[in-house]
Amino acid sequence: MRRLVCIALITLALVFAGATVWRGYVLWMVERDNADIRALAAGQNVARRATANPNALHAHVLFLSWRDNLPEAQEMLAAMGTERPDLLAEVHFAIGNAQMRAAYEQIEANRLEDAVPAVNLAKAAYREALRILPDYRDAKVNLDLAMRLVRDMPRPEAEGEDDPENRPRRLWTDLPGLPRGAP
Amino acid sequence: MRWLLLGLLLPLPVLAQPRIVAENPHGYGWWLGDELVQHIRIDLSDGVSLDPASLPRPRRVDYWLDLRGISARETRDGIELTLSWQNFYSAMEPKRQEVPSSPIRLSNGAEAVLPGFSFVTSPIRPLTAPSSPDQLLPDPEFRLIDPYPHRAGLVGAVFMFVASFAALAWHQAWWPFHARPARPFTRAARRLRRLADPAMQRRLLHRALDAAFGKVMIGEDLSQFLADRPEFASMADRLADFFHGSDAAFFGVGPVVEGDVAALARDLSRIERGQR
Repeated sequence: MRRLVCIALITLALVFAGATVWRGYVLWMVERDNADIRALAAGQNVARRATANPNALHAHVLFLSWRDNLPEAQEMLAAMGTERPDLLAEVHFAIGNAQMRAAYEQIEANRLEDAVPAVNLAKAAYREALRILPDYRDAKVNLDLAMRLVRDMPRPEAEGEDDPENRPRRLWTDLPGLPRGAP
Repeated sequence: MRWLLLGLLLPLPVLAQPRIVAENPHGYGWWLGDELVQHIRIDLSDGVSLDPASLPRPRRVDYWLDLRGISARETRDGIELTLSWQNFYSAMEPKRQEVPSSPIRLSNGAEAVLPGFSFVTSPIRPLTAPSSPDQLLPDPEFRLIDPYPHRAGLVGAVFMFVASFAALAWHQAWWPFHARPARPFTRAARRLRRLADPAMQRRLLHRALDAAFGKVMIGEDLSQFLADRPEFASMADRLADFFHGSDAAFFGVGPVVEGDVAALARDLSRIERGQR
């Protein structure tokens, strides 16, 4: 009995020693990520760590999108995963803002044909943010603003028709000379 | 032949429309990006089910409308569908929008329609608000990770480690629990190491045995002691030799028995701490 208690106590002490080491390691990583986030917020770029958590990636994307480095920002976004939808929505919102800034630059330079695709990309980013977080009010306001610049229009083919999916029975082509698909 | 035709026609009444009750979202007060949840209950007769392939897929239904998701739940007398729509119509003024209906198919071949609904969506910003760069809401804030739960976790783990280690030290009578009276053999074994005089060593171990027995213990009490503390049964012979040795050393009774008192005390101490 005493022997069993002795073994149990040694096991318990080892388990908690392991837990202490693990907890310390996690806290150390958190403090390191927080130091990175502070540096990025202060405007210094830092290398992305392989173990960076969603908050750190969020900070990286904010940093890059503010400096109009969208390809790298998209790369970071892909690494974020879906465990923090709030951060993911904010990241899409920041990318939308970067596209809007690009669009305004084109408008000021009077290149409207380049501004329209930028606004459309911004709308897609805001829409993605709202898809993740439907109650994200900042994204609603900026999406509304973008929509006023370039309004969404019904697709010409779809005008006056329901989505093709809603008409599964219309299997025959409308080509003349091919009534009901017959030769 | 006529009967065969009749047989083909008979199943038709089974294809009657199922009863469909829709619980639609409110008709007013919706903004750009809002999620509208529609519940549809379909009463199905026994043996009839919904063809899952005929349900609308989550997709962009129209340029202003997304079907975010659709889930089905079996109920007692049919099925309950939950359709989650999302409105992306950027209204300039309050405007009624129509969500389309969707056809579905049942396992018996009957067709039915999931009803659509309409709602009024309103603009977020005033009609006259400019769409200039300064109207754009700024980027979100940088968000630090909250270290508090991680710190609390570390403190908790350290506390649990110290507590479990303290329990182990207490159980093993390590410092600062080494002087515990409940471990008389352990205490004796430690003090014996510093004593050179064999007579003093014997005395010390006798005091430890007295303490373990609860009263003064003599050679005749050994069987009683072993009955009380069966964990020491393996030491019966060496304890008997020790008592005989003490009788010879102190009273000159019987033959002189040589024995390593310190080793005996050490072994007793190990048993006492559960290490043997």
